[in-house]
Amino acid sequence: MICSTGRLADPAGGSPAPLRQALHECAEYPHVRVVRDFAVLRRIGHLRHEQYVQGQGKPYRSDILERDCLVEIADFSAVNIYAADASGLTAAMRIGLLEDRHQPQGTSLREAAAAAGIDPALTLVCSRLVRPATQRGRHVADLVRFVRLRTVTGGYRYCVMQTAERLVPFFRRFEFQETGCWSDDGPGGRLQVMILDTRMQPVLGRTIHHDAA
Amino acid sequence: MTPLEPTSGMERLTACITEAQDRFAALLRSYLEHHGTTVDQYVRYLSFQYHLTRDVQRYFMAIAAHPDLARRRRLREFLYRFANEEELHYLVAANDLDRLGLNPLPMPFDVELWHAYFRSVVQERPFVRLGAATVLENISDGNAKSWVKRALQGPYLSRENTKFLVLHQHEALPHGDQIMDAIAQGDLEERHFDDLIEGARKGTVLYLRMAEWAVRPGGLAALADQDSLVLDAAEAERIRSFQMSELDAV
Repeated sequence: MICSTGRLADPAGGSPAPLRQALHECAEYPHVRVVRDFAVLRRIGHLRHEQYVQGQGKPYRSDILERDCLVEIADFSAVNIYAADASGLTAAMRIGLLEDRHQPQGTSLREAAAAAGIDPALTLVCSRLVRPATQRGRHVADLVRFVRLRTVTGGYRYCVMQTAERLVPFFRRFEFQETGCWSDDGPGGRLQVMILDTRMQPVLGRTIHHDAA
Repeated sequence: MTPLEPTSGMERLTACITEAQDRFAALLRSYLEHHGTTVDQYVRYLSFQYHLTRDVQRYFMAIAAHPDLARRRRLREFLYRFANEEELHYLVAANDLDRLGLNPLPMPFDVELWHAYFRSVVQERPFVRLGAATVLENISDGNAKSWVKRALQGPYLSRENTKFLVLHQHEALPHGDQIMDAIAQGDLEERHFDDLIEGARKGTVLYLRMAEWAVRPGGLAALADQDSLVLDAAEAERIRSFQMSELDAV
């Protein structure tokens, strides 16, 4: 299958597109947006603080001055995306490069990726997945699908994430695999590192026919 | 020098600039003694510079067009060149923000006040606006220099997102010295210096309020902040595709 939103990068060679070039809004997911406004990033930062710091007691430290707002330096080298409907923001997530030196817990993620033998230059990190308490997270799946569609089209193959044990089955649905690598995330407990190998297929469960281009 | 001794226009103007530098140093010191600068402060700095420097050429062309410069053509020539050199700097600030993944923040209220005031006076009293320019081009020097240097350090800074800062380092583009030299050689009258000094003082007030808005996001001026800036597609593309080589276009 060829993605209607652009040329598939050559999985056999060449560098992936710059992340901000790869992750642009597209017609397939009209409710998924790329954060460009600081006001939106602040809104996401407040949600992160509610969810991670206040809700789960995690010791994450913000790099901006605003109170109760978890925004990190990694947010300015990564890309934040969010879904929205008439009620406002419904879910958000950060996508960064595995090789980004500002990536929180980057060392353990890179170790897990190395152990799995995947190419770090083709690997992204999905992190800081949040949703407002009033939302059931119905758009979370769309965020994951959007990232896969756009980044495979941009030439990225792998995605690494860390998640709590209870969410492992949810991410298995998107073909993430447990690595057996764990990290301690403070009061929030252990997080398992999961890796998705898209095999350069932009859509879950589909097969690419390169000669169709 | 005794208080009654007459001072030259240039000395009066230089004293205004020194006071602006001292006050800027005090503002930065009051924050930096306790903290490092943060990425949101840097985003606010670049955002106000984007709005402050956008269309700056209009001011300098208007100053150059004033009849008082009919027989001061060297100063007029300087202003024309200065307008050309400064015109695209707003895109440098916006492109630095783009490299941080962001659009500029909406125009701060103090930048709105700046433009509302200086647009209202630049046609009839161009030296008021020129006086403000002497402050903008020199405020980071003198006693402020070491604090500015300290403020502009942070793990979020990279070669890609600091082009505006690098461009405005005194050594890279000595506009501060150039503008003072041009004024000194302009054969200006006392009434011109009166306006230059008025503009320097008013420019200091407004610039320091902008700097405070950047340094203290929770300060009073933030009450008037708007939520987000709507960039039209053409402007967004101009920002994204900007190349530093455009500054040298002839």
